[in-house]
Amino acid sequence: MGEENNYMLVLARKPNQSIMIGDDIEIRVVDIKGDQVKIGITAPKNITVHRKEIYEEIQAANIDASKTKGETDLDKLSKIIVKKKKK
Amino acid sequence: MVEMLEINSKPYGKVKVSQEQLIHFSEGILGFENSKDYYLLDRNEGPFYWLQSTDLTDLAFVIINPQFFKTDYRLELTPQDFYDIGLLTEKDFEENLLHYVIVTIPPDDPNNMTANLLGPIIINKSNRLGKQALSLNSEYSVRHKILEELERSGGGK
Repeated sequence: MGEENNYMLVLARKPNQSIMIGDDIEIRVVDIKGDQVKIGITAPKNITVHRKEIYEEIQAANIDASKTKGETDLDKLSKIIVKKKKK
Repeated sequence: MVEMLEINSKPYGKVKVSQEQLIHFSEGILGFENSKDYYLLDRNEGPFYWLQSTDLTDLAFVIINPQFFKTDYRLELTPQDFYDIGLLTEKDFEENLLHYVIVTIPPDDPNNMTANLLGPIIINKSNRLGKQALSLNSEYSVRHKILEELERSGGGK
């Protein structure tokens, strides 16, 4: 996700302090307990926020899926699943 | 008459396609961000289709409509995901939304095929824009076993 082009800015924040990204995205440290930080994000509706692990999981699954062989007999697999569906 | 074009495809070698089968993914597919255009190949009768990259012959994905094996599958996405492919109204949704999930078929054990329910592919069939969206339902797995699902639910008929 563009990491190769971007620098990482590191800031120290205390609970209830925020940072702004641009004019309209606010990231607030809500709470810190042990090794877990609760983060609150306020952003416009058109910004989607997901945990990074989800991107990584989907990326890994896509890479595996791309290794599916071109010769895979889809008609045969279709028959198997159609049969299971009817059972 | 629809103009046909011959392309090289991973599953079928040379194959004829029309521009109507061309889908543009402005963000690509996660992990393959540089390939933005795919042909939806419907030579197999379904429910499986191939999504074939236009610029890399070796890059193609098997896709399936998730409702085929999991009838309670729901697209739980943000409105922005649909705006991104130009689906703005309820009428648009009903008439133009197609959705699939990517299937992984292990070469040595095809019956163990899995589907990525967490990252569905949505397509607007009127402007042929597509997107791999991220489901907001974190219960969905990226490797959901298709045959096990059918065993469990009997296809939910």
